[in-house]
Amino acid sequence: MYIRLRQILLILILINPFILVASEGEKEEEGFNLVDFALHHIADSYSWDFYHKKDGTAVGIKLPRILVDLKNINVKFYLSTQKALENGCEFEHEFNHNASHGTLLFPNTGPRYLELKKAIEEKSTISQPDKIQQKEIKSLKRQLRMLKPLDFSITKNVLFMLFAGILLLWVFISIANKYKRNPNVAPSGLQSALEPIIVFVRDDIAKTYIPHKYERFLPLLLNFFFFIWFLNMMGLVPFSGNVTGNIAVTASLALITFFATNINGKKNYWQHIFWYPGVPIPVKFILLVVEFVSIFTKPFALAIRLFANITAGHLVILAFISLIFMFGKSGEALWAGVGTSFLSVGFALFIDMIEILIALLQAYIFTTLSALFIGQAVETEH
Amino acid sequence: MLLLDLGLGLGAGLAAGLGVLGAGIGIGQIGGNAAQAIARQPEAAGKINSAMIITAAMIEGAALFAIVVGIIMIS
Repeated sequence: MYIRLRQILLILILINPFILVASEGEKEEEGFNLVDFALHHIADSYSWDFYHKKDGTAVGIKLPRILVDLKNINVKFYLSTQKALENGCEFEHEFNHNASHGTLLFPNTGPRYLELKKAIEEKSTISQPDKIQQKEIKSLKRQLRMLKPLDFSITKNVLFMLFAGILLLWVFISIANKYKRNPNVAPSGLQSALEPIIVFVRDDIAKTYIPHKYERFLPLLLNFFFFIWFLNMMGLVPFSGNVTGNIAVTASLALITFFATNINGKKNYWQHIFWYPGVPIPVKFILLVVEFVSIFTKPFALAIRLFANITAGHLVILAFISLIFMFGKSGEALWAGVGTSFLSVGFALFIDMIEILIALLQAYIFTTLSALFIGQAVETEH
Repeated sequence: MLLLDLGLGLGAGLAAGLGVLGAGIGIGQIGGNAAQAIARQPEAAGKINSAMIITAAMIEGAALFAIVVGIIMIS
């Protein structure tokens, strides 16, 4: 039984890159562009696509669009981007109508919108606009942009964040209930798998870096650790969203650290920033600038580190998979592609294994550095 | 136009490559020195390890800035 499980796991791991090949190799046109291909696959999107048919249409789940207009206080809900377009929404940009990546939609917001649109069209028909006319067009476009609604759409990344949230709630509430029901019994099942990790976060991260009253920050740190870890692991599964490889997500997480650090900052912390004790007065002014900038660079580096690590890993895997199509010339030189596939699947598998390690390591580093920053802030004079 | 593309490609490659070169030297030094420290004082291995990982992560952050700049240049 044990061996069979292991065999199945091994086969699944070996198939994993092939699934990637099958899912992502379909839509090659002549001239394979590695950069476009890779950046397309790590980007967020408004639909959860599984594969593309021969004619280029995507097969997958269309995700809803939610547009919130703060000025007129109305919320527009459409089941998909297609539905939104049918109901009078327009793409923000005139170019690239087929793109569903990162395109904001414009709901048809009343007469003011139409007026501006018409004015821009009239101005644009002038064959050689002089400087004043160009300025007018620019200002009209800016006014049009001011009408832009807030985009609260459920994108692929949001969907996977919700998945991760539900998974975390389910796992940890069930564990917590187990402890409540019979507190003095040895842990079993999932409980015994996760208890060492929770204890590790408590003892090796929270207690080490936050000397006093670490209990206050333990829920935050545990949340960071498991949320990032789960999302990193989810990102490695084919067809899933690359959530922690999105700068907006990591920046939001880093922003939480930023607020946790600065709101809890004690007198000692602020004194070290604005009036560094124990150095000559001219040096105090130099240190003021350095320390003040470091308030912002610390969370910024935190966000970039997680984002770039995950993105770089995905890019390397995609690059190895792409080698097959580059050598195979998208089916022209079939056997060259087949020959390359052995090598590149092997390498992709190797990087996949490293990525599993990195998924855990990055969660650990994010949590540790957050704990370190918070610990520095709440430290009192000794 | 071709020259511009060539320049961008070269620049992006150099930005990422040189950035990572520096980080590689730095992380190598950390790893080597940590190994030496553990050899001298095996009982402090846990503390040295976590300090090593944190310092390596800080350096890696700097290298990743370079990589991100490279990616932005080509995309």
